[in-house]
Amino acid sequence: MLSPRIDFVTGSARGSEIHRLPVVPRPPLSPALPVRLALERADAFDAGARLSPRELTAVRVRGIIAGTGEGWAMRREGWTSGERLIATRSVPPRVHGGHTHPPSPMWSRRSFLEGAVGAAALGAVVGSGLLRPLSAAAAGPGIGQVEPIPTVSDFFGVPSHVTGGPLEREVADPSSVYNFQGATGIAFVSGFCERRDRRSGETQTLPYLFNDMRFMKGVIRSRDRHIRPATFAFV
Amino acid sequence: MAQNGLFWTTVVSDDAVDVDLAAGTATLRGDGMKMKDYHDFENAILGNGDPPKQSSVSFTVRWRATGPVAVLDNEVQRFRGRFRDAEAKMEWSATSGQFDYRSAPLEDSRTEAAQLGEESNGFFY
Repeated sequence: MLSPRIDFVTGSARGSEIHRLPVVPRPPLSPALPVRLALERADAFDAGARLSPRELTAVRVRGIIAGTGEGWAMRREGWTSGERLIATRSVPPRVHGGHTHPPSPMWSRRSFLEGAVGAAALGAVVGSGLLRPLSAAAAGPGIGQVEPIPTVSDFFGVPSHVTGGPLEREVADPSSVYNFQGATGIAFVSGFCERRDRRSGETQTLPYLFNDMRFMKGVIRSRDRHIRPATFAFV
Repeated sequence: MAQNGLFWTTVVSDDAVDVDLAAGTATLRGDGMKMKDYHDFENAILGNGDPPKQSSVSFTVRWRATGPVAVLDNEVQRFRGRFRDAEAKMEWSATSGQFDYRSAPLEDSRTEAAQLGEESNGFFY
């Protein structure tokens, strides 16, 4: 068991304020290899190979990029490009007119294009982003008290507070929540699903790849510096 | 991404997760979770495509630890933990627009990579 390090004295100077911590980005993947491996993997998937490129991206269920196989490329090559992590400044949300905007990524056209393929591959591993939680609205009160991990992955030039966990070449935090202590599970799961069109009745069997599911159950030190029990799902 | 920077993470009820680290098992369940269907990853990140559709998804994920305990520590990320490699299986169903999705049974899914353990990060590092 981990040695207990919970300090229930709120407001303690122990521990760092997240916004004073560096955000740790990782560069986008080199586009060439993931694409090549993706094609190899798509050939191996019978169901996927029968689909047109348009259909390959048409499976809309969360965490699934059907048949693209980019996740396999990620598995083989690792989550990062192998370059060392570089500390940089954080990207706190912008506050305007009494409400908060998400971080506004500043990317150039060139960096966007360079990052797009690698980010797509990362997306397949992370969980494609096709179906996303209704975040704050669905999470209920308290989600605003939760800190994201400062480590970021680069998706389309957008620093995203998530790592690949066991898919990374180096030790990486599988939790997406910071100032957290407790049990964590991370899973990348593949399989098949059936899609049914309710209008036509047509059904189709499709693969899903590297569906990324996680949980975190324990305690957090929230933004108001209180220690709270909390359970999270990464969906 | 949530406005506070959380990536695809939502608060769930305590009983959505059953975990027994001593036994090396855990289960995550979601039932009729309301989601937004962004169609593709780029649109989910950049929001530069069609507006998302309202969708719902239900799922069960089960972990069963299979490997020895590994001690992980990353000072840069301020993270340490004790994790075991695991087998993970899942089944799910979803509704989005005119389509219904249903996965094959849980036992037919395939683990690509999975870990189960305990950790401390940030303040608790």
